[in-house]
Amino acid sequence: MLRENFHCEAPIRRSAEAERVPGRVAIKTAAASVALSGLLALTACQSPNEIAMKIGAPPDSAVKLRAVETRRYETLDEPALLAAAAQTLQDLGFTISESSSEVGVLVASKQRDAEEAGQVAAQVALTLVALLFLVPYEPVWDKDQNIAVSVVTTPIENSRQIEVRASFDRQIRDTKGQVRAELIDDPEIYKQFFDKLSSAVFLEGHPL
Amino acid sequence: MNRRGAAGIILAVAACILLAACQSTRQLPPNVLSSKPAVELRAMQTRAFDTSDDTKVLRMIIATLQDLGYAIDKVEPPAGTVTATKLSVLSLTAVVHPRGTGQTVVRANAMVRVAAGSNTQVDDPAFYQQRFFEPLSKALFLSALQVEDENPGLDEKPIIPETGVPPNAQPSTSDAPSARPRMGQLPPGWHGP
Repeated sequence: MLRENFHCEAPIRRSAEAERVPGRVAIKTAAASVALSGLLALTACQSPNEIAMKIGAPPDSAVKLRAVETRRYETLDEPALLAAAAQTLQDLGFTISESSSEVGVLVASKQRDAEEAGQVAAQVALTLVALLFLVPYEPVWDKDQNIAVSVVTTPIENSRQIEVRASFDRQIRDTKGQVRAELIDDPEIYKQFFDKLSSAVFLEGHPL
Repeated sequence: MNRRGAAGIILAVAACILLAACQSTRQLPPNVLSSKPAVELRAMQTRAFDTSDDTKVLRMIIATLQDLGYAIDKVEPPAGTVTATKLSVLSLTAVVHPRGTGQTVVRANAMVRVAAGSNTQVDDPAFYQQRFFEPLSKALFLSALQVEDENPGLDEKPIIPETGVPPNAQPSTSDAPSARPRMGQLPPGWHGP
């Protein structure tokens, strides 16, 4: 998963809180927060061009991702394939936001809850442990997410096949309102989509 | 009467101050565009491909963007435009248009979201070359040709001397063996009346 968080905000609040805690813990916390803010400043405050170079780089597992995201169908009817993809996405609860059959593009998105019992439990436990050591800690977990998918169909030259590539990504908002975005690379999600698409077009999708 | 007037003035001043205070002090910074000259930007953002099939080029741009991890936002085939965003941070718009009879020109423009509601234009030639045109020319099996500035007269700062070499003839292609610079050939009547 690609996780990026680019915000040029130094965590000033934490060091202010540290001053209230007496003795060694305070010094340790202060040192930790200074180190943390230094680290954050180093990673966060890049120039827009540097961010563009970093974000614009191909995904680490581009070849693997392509294989997961792509299937080939034995058909020449591109509009029918796109219509089937639109139906499949609607069955999965997506809303179509953009479509262009001339170039084989279909874009859709949906909003979903992102709370996971495990993550919430871990955060609560961490807060309790922090309380034991008199360290202030505010629990934070993922709240909701916006899942988007781009489906692109491409006729393969000199063959009777059409390639369908679907890319899912999501923006997750946590309980503090921070947003992060990531590409979805879970093969199970893609398998589910292509299985449904295959049954919609009565054709078997062949992996690359 | 006098005291009333004074009270009225004080009230009015207080209201003014209150109203002024209500104004948002933390206005979002607008989109920041590059301060580089337009000629330089055009040179880094534009490439020509030896094909007349602009729909194929548009399709290949979409495929390349998807391969790079972008999510498509908007496509407009009649206008030859596509906009895509990667991880909610980097958005790129590409425009395709035919040039002469045998060439298709692609211009890309990228913006980076630096804060909520504030974007900054990317003006690094290496970004456009390595993160867009190189993957695109690989997908098209065609070289990305450097485009000579088409009408420098339109620019606010015409910095190309008549006899000299354009300053940005090939600043971004030094690390790209696939890109061969070539002088653009203007179609007849290009300069208009």
